[in-house]
Amino acid sequence: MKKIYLPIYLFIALMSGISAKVISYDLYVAEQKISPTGKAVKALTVNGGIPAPTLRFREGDIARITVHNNLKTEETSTHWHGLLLPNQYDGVPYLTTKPIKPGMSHTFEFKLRHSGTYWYHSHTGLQEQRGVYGSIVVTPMGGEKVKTNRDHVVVLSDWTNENPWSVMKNLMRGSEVYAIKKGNAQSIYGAKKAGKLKEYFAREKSRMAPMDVSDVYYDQFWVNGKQTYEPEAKNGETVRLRFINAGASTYFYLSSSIGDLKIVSADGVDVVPVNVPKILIGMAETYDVVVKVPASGKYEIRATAQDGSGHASVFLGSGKLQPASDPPKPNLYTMDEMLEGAMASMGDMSAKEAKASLHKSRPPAPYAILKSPKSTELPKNLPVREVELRLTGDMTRYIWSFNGKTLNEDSKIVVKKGERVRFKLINDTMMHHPLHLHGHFFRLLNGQGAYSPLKHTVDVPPMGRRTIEFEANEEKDWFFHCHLLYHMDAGMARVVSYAEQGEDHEPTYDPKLKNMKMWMVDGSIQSHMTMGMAMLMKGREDYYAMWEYGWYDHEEYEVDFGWKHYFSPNWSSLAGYRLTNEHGAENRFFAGVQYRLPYLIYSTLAVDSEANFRLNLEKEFQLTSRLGLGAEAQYDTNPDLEENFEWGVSANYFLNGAFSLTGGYDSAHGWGGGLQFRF
Amino acid sequence: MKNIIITTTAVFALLISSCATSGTGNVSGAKPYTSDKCIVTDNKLGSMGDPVTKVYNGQEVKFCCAPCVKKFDANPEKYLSKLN
Ligand SMILES: [Cu+2]
Repeated sequence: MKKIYLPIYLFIALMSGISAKVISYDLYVAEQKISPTGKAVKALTVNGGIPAPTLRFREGDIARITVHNNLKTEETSTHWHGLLLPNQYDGVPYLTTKPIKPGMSHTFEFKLRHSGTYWYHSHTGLQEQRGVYGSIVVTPMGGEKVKTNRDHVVVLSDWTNENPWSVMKNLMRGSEVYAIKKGNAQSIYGAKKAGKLKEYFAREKSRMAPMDVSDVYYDQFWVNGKQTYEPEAKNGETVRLRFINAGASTYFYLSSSIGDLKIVSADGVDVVPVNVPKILIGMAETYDVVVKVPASGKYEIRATAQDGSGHASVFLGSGKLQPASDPPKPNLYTMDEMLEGAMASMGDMSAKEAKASLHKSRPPAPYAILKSPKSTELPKNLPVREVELRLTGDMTRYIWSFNGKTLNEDSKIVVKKGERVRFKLINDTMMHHPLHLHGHFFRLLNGQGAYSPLKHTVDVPPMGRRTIEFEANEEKDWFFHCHLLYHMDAGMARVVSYAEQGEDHEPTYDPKLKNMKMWMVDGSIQSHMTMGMAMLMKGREDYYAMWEYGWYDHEEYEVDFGWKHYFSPNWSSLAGYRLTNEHGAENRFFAGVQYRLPYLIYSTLAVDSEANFRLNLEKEFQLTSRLGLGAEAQYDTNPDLEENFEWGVSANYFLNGAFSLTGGYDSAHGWGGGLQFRF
Repeated sequence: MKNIIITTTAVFALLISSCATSGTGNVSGAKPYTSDKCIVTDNKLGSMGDPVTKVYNGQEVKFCCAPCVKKFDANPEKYLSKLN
């Protein structure tokens, strides 16, 4: 008997192997000018558009995708976000897959092991911001569990006309330009208007940088590449909307004029269907949402940027428009909302309170109610590896890290195959970070026990906490990083590295992530003087040339060539050489420290090779969002100087990212005014 | 000359020490708080600006930011139990 069955089994096994359908796609990445706001700007398109085409498969199919790099000078890459696949096809350049050089192509071939809504994007530099992202839909073997009349993909994204590297430069120099453009800049006048003057100065006293809920200003927010999207959906029909947040740095609130949104799937994995009034969706997360279009009228599902700076809309049905509304703007002068979100994330609230918090006007991520329909428990006997990861960073310097170390300073988290790996994520910053693990689904330990949902990306709210765990059932190296694109590039990333590769294995990753350098020049030209600084920023180092040149009654200059090392927001060291023609002074070496005092007063104490000390104090008062008042005082112990004490005040009016008007008095150079510039 | 150097350094040292102690120093007589984490949120002290210190029933406690004090005051025993 057995002898007869064996060949039949083999035959069936063989047939099912053959019957796996190969689905092929060709993707062409190219540079193209687009003008979404009327002004033509360079973008990156895939097959001529943004977003890239939707790749559709059935569970069990074989994907064969050839990516052609039609860029002239840039490398590219494609990561298949959320799909479980062999390491070599994960698409992180240098780490798992070779970068695709200009003019070259690369074929990815892998089996679709599971169904769901996913997406793909470039993992090179800041290309994702410029348009290299698209959606993936994998239909389950037996069809969708929740049946609907319609099924549409909704790719959310953020668009800026600015070159993303210039955005990065503005972030690194701590420019207020985006906060001003969004209307979120903090000022003494703004605080007074909000009745939060006391809080404003208490924050300055405690040396806390002004908070904001997002880093970047965007010209537009998109659904499938446009500000509005009207898919086929008749009144009375049920619609599955597959929301994918492909934004580079925007969280969205989803809300609808229909009423509650029914979540049926999160990050591609089915959950027990559940209704929520609003969904806060982080970058790289996906939610499948089902709505029923009412019998008459045109309804809106709105994706509002978390910072309140804009929105994009999906319209369903026809007839009289029933608009959705924006959530209220965040109150940036108090930390109370932030603290509530943090408490909700740390299990400090009862399940009932956590659910109630989802009904707030600005709710947290809907994790408290996500539940897997089947047990996701890992095998009981696995050895446990617990890793505490503190999310750390500094908004002013724009260094983002884990446990205080950037990818460049500490690249690996070592795991062993067969372990139960638990990440305790503690957010020591005042921003949300959506953290993404490549190549694995993790259990989000949200109080649902055995039915904890599976995800690939988890939002960790400001000051909040999350715990995730997964079975280390892979091999080689997988990226783990913040999906806020600029945070990732600024260091908030690690490589989850399997120990089986040997103790001395060092993962290789994009050399550009290792040594990001940024040039910048800040200065002023005024009627009586010019001053400024040209600087090369690299990690925690600044290499700079600082000048001050005045022509009021006599010509006088001072030029410093220096090196500054950044230890913490409060401490830096500096050293360099000074050229000057000031009466009684000579060229000299100097070294010193910079310390940030309460009320955000910057003090610098330096000693020079002539054994003279110099103390300098600087403070900026932000009167309104655009108008600032600067004050500076300096004392030099050099006995040969005519004036040991120098001081100055200036008023500065912010025009745009590159220019401000300035005017004021300097004790050495007199009265004057002119233009400040930033390049 | 020497006097000027001494005065400058002294002023500077004073400024630094005044703020170094404002958030982190012990309040005399109280049982010191030994953790470097906020008693409410577990966030690293210093990560949200200078920490806030308070004495509750002879026990010194520290917070990452002012709003956490309100949280603590609402239910001190719950958070104090973390110390043991
Ligand atoms: Cu981040």
